[in-house]
Amino acid sequence: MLRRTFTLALALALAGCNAPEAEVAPEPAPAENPATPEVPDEVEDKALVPSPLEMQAALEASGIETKLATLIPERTFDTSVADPDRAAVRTGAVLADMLLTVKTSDKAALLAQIDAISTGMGQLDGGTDITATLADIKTRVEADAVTRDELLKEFETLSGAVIPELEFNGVSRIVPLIQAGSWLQGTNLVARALKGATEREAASQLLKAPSVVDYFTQYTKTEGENAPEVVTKKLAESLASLKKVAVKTEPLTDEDLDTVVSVTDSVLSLL
Amino acid sequence: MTLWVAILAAAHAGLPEAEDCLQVKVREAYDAGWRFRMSHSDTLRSGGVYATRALMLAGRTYRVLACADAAAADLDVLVYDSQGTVVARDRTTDREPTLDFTPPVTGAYVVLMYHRLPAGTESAAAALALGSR
Repeated sequence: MLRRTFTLALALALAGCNAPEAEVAPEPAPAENPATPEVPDEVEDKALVPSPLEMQAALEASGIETKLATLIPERTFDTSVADPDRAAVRTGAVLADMLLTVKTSDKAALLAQIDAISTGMGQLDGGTDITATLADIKTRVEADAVTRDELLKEFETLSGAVIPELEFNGVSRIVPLIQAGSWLQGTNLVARALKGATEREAASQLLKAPSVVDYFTQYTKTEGENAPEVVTKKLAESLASLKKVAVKTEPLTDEDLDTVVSVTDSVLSLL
Repeated sequence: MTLWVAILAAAHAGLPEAEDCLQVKVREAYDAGWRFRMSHSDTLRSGGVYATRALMLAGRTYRVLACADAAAADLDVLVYDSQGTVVARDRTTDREPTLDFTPPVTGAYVVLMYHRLPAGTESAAAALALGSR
């Protein structure tokens, strides 16, 4: 099986560039006896982790109007740190913030976020192409040559399709750790939003995702070449606490939400 | 754009066709309010599958878009629950299936694409994207 990454087409599609016109296809006939393959032993986790924007949308769908962007605490993530684990998680957290605020942030704040992500990509050996892509976006932002709606699409593509396909010099844990940073930040904000909500059972499902916690936990058990033990140990402890909340079948209490906020605050601050 | 150009240069011959097709569908869906979490393209042998887990939230609707190149006869997409039971599938016989699924419970599901090829064809390219709204 030849496999390759697929970013070009989707990237261009979301960025609104020229794309082939859709052909009108005839209505396909239903299959009478369609085959049902077994789920293979090897299943990827490419689509496992919801994005911060999905979390926002799920909140709204459950009747909670709070904008996650308004709950982002004052926190500066230094993505120039040499340790790749820290740089990855921090870059992911900035990415989450940028996705949530791109439509409302002022230009200076947005440019700072782009710079932080670009710096993180550099520290992680993301390659010159992603750096050039971010520089191109920055230039257009500086020149007011791109709308915030268009930027949102481009950032969503970067987050969901481009960055996950980068090789990061062969260090396989980098992409999951970037995703972990985004997810931890999103989870932190969701817990904050739920704290003030009356009808929160539906949205609390966002915090009951043991499969996502397990996915990240496995990467804390692989040895990073230069990762200080304190980083992976702290991340593993935090994920263990989040797992206890995630597996709850009963409604989450204020105490549970406080746990999620404090645990994610703690790990994001340390890292 | 260099990143994307480099990726395209490495493309298998059939992949651009599948990806171009998916590109159009994703753009249209995006304009209709769908948000996309991931995309992937593969060259699959006849009967071959690509599968990925996806956390799906109860109450949200998920859309699986897929396209295969002209070498494929029939591309199918299916969703399985954590027990391996099919909970949604497209029943068309074309190579551009769209499948919507609203999970009854939050959990990790498996999204799978599968295609059968005409006799004499060894492989075909296929691309898949997962969105929600």
